[in-house]
Amino acid sequence: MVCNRPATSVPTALDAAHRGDPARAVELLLSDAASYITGVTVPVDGGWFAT
Amino acid sequence: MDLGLTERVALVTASSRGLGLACAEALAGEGAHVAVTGRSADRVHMVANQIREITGVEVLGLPGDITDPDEPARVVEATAAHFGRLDVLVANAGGPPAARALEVTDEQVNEAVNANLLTTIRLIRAAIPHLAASDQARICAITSSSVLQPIPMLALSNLARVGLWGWAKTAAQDLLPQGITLNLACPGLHATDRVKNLGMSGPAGDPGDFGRAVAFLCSSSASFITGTTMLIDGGSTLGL
Repeated sequence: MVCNRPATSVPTALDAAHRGDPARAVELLLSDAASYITGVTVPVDGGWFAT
Repeated sequence: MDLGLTERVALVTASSRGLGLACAEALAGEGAHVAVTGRSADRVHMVANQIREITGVEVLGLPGDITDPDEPARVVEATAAHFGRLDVLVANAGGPPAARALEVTDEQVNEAVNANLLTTIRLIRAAIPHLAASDQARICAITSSSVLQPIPMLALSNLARVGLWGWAKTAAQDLLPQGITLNLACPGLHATDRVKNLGMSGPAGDPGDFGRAVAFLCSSSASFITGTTMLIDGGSTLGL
């Protein structure tokens, strides 16, 4: 599962060019390198989640 | 998938074997120049030559014990001086010996904290001034799936790595203004010598796949991923 946050909610300056666009992050989870990655949640949120 | 790592410079510590080596190989395979470290000079130079021959990138071998308090700053500075830049830090260190929680001594706890918590903090501290100059600054620390589900026979590993998790989650926030991402890669069982030596068995992941997952976290595509713990464990961790 990929969890993204709307760009307007991000209060910091982390790479504005890719804010709110999880598509590129999904590439890994769909690739052959992800053969041993399952059942995970990967926040793609620029560090927004505090937990 | 273009990871945007061509001509980048990566330092991967404790990378003469196992998952560290897999990370160095994956980054080099994506075109990054890499610095590799390890205790055995012979082994480090052999691995450096192998990666260089296979991938064609420049590889710097830096023998030494990364758990020595002075070593993290030395290898960071040596890497930056040799290549003229540093874009990626993959912080890894060998795991502590197996031990049940009630059997550990004070000395063992201190050694585990030094190797698997303080060493990474020292590496990151030393690397920040160089990473801050990069437009693709990435830090990935190798920990363990045990941060989410403790492994009974690895109490020393459990305690040190959970401490690193707490520190890294905090540090990731402090690194945001500099555009530096910091994530933890949390491997479960993989087919490495350490796993064999610990007598652990069961379905195991391919170290090469682990390396490529870490390379992704260091990629241009991962620009919006920071402060995360990415489990690479074949679904073996049951907790939410």
